[in-house]
Parts: sequence; C-alpha cells; structure tokens
Amino acid sequence: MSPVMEHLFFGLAAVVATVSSLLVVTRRNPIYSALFLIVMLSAVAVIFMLLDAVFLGFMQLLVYAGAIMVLYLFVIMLINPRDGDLSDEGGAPERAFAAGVALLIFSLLSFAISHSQQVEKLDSAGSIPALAAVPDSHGSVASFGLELFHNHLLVFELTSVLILVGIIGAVHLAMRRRSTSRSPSTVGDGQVTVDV
Amino acid sequence: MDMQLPPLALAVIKAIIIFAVILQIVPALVYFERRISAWIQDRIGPNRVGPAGLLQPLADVIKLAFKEDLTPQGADKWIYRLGPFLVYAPAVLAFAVIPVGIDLQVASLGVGVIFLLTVSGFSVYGLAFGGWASNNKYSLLGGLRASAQMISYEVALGLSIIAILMTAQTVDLNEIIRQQWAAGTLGLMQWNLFQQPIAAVIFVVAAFAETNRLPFDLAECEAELVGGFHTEYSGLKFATFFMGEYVAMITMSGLMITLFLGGWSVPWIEIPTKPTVWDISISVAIFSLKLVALLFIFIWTRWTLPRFRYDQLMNIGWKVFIPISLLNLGLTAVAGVLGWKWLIPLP
Repeated sequence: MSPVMEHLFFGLAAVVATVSSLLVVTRRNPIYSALFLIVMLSAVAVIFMLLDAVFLGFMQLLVYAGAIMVLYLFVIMLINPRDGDLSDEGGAPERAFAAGVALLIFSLLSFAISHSQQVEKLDSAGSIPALAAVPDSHGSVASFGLELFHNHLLVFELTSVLILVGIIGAVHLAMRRRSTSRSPSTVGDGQVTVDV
Repeated sequence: MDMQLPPLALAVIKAIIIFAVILQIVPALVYFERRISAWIQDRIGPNRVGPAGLLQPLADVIKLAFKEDLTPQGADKWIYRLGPFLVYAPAVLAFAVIPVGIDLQVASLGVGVIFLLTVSGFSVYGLAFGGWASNNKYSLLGGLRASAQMISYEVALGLSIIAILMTAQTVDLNEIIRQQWAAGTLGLMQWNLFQQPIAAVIFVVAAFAETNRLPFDLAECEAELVGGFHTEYSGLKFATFFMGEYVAMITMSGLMITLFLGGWSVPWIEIPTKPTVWDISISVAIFSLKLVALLFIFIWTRWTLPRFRYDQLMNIGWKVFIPISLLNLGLTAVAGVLGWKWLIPLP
C-alpha cells in the first residue's frame, strides 16, 4: 500500500475510533453505546492491520468486536432498560473526577509517546524516513505464535491462570444463585425467572 | 493466468463474478428447497409459474419488492434498518476467502480461516439488533435466542476448525486443500473428514446452529415466536434477512468443503502446478458439485428432523460439544507432538 493510502486509511480509522468512542459515553440508550463500541473496536482493528499486524487485528475483531460485545449486547437486551430506567448517575464532583482521570491518562500517554526514543529519533531526522521493509512473516500467525509461546511464555501462562480464576469465580456465583432460586418459596416471591 | 491485469482490477473482476454467481444461487436454492420439501412431504410444490415452476423465484422476488415496507411504531428506526444488512453483508463478505477453484478466490488472505470466522460471527448482530429494534417481545426473544445460540456454537465451531489448523499447520485455505490430496481412490482417506472425524461432526452440527437452520432454528421458531427476530419485517427488508440466511448456508458449505472434503480437488485428478484455464474450470466444477451435494443435505435435514427444545440446544452445545471438541484438540496436539497422523495411516 502506498504511504498516501496508508495515511488516508489511518486518518479514517482514527477519526471513526475517536468519534464513536465519544458516542459510546454520550448516548443515553445502552444499545447505541454497545453499537458504537463495536464500531470503535473495529476501527482499532483497522489500525492494527495498517501496522502489518493482520493476525492481531483479526483477533481484535473476533474476540472483542465479535464475542465479547455479543455478550454485552445479550445482557443489555435481557435487562432491556428503557430511557426512564437509567438515572443520572453522579453529580458535578463525580464528573469532575472522571474528567480528571481521563486527562491524567491522556497526558501520561502523550508524555510517554512524545518522549520515546523512536519519536526523538524521527524528530531529529527532520522528516519521517521510509520505514524499513518488514519481512512477509511479520504479523503472521506463525511469527505471532513463536513470539507468544517462546519469548513470553511465562506471561502467557500467568494470564491463563488469571482467566481460569475468573471462570471459576463466575461458575461459583452462578451456582450460588441457582441453589437459592431453586427453593419454591423464593420463586413465588415475585422473582422473574428469565427463560429465553 | 497469462493475462496481465493490474491486481486491483483483477480483484474487482473476481469479486463481481463470484458475488453475482452467489446472488444467482440464492433464488435457485429457494426453488430447490421448496421442490425438495414438497417431494419429502409427498406434495407437488410450486409448479405453476413457468415450466416446472422454474420462474417461481422471479415471482417471489416481484412479490417481495412490491410489498409495503412497514416500520412498526415505537421501533428504533436506525437500528431497525441496519438489522437486515448486518445479516446479509457478513455472509457475502465471508465467502470472499473461500477458494472456489485452484487458487481462485476473491481475496487471498494470509489469515483466511480466521477472517471467515470473524466476519461470519458478525451476522449475529443483525439478528440481535433487528430483534431488539422491532419493539416486539417475540422479536426480542428471537434476537436473544439467536445471540445465545451463536455464542455457544461459535466456540465449538472455532475449536473444531483449530483442530484442522493444527493438523494442517497453516491457515492458508488453498494449502489446506493441497494437503488433503493424495492419488488414487484410497486418497479419499486423506480428506480431513476421515483424518479428523470428531472435528467434522462437531463442525457440521455447529454450522447448522450458526446458520439458524433446522433443527436449530430456535431464533425464528414459528410455533412459539411467530417469526422470531424478523416478525415485524416485511418487503425487501425481510428478503434481505432471508437471503442472508441462504448465503450463510452457502458460505458454511463452502468452508466445510474446503476444510473437510478436499475443496476443489478430487483424488482422481492430479493438481497441476501450473494450472491452465481448463484446469481451473474443472476445479470450479468439482467445487460446485460438492456444494450442490452439501446444500442438498442442508435442505434434506431441515425437512426431516424436528426442532430441538431450547434447553436441549444449550445443553448439547455447552455440555457435549465443547468438552468433546476440547478433548479432540488435546488428542490432536498429542498426536502432532508424537508425529502420528491422526487415526488413519497414509495410504
């Protein structure tokens, strides 16, 4: 892809990602928030692909925009909140706090990026030099797997243990709910059992 | 090919031809479904419009196009409109990576199978959003069922595909097909259907569930939910949902052929290293024959089996198919490390 096209696509993806993430937090209807979150995650996947990380980009789409967002949507639809159901959460202090945290993260990230060695090198060069050609295997499934299972094996295994803990926790919570709702006295207690 | 065309133009031409062909298959498929279902149920089926009812699809399209396009009151207009497209577009897009002939596909991606899984998974949003936006409890229940069903069976589908990727050691679909080729009638044993029988069974069942076809069509389920997620849709919006379902069926059959049935190759014809136009035509014909056979099985199943109950569907998905496919994955890994060919030795 020519550099012009690459810049064009990057700009497009960046604008879509920024605008849709703004829409995620400003929409009152949670279904719309979920929809724009899907758009945002897809735009980020495009940026991954522009960086020659095609496999990572598709994983972002498959796992986040695909699987995880379906679960979000499923829960939102199951609860099906209408406009009146959602109260205005938090007053001015909460909003100020949230804005402060956002600003802090933004400034930390921009500080880190602008002071990275790579950017300083580019800056001293005056213009953006042509990127070194990446080998064809870059970002492929094989090189990704090698990197993950050789150089970062410990982190990978630790992450899987963490996920396992999460799964066991979720199963435990679900089991506890079931054992209480099974007794007939609580079911008749105006409790709605959802059966889809 | 000898023709010297810029790659972009070639890609556009291939895309137009293949998508046009798929669009033509859909009405034909609907016609055959109606005729075959009539045959199975000892009826006559559509036979009035044109010779042997062959123009029936045309009549259907005209009827659908001229129907009033209703949007129910209280529906969320934008998402209501978005629904059908979110079902149709992913199904067509996913077909782009399926090789229909020797190295002939719209997009030759390095991550072929993963692209297909990702994109076809997106069609669940069409069902879920369409069901929710209709502002109708039956539609909502249909949408919820669809999303729960697709999440459950996508896991089993993905795991069975991973088992194939592990034996093939590549994600390139053409390479997977080449590996399934061996000369002679015994070469059939090289097909992943026989090399990975457990994965094949899981894949078929999950593919039926993913395409929302009977016995897994709980999302529309006429007896309980009127029409499920598309209860409120009419006219061309309904037609788009309908076509999406059929294209998804074609795409899943194409993937099944590629992964388990040797794709565009048969053991009796050698794969040429430098294919001529003639060789490519033969391979497309082989692919088409396999596709017709699989689509017939899809239709046959629909008109033979009763529908599952919802709790049965979920139980089979989570408590049977996912554990079995995980086990299969483990066995494949052990066999791979020990250097065995899974189950059946090479001829």
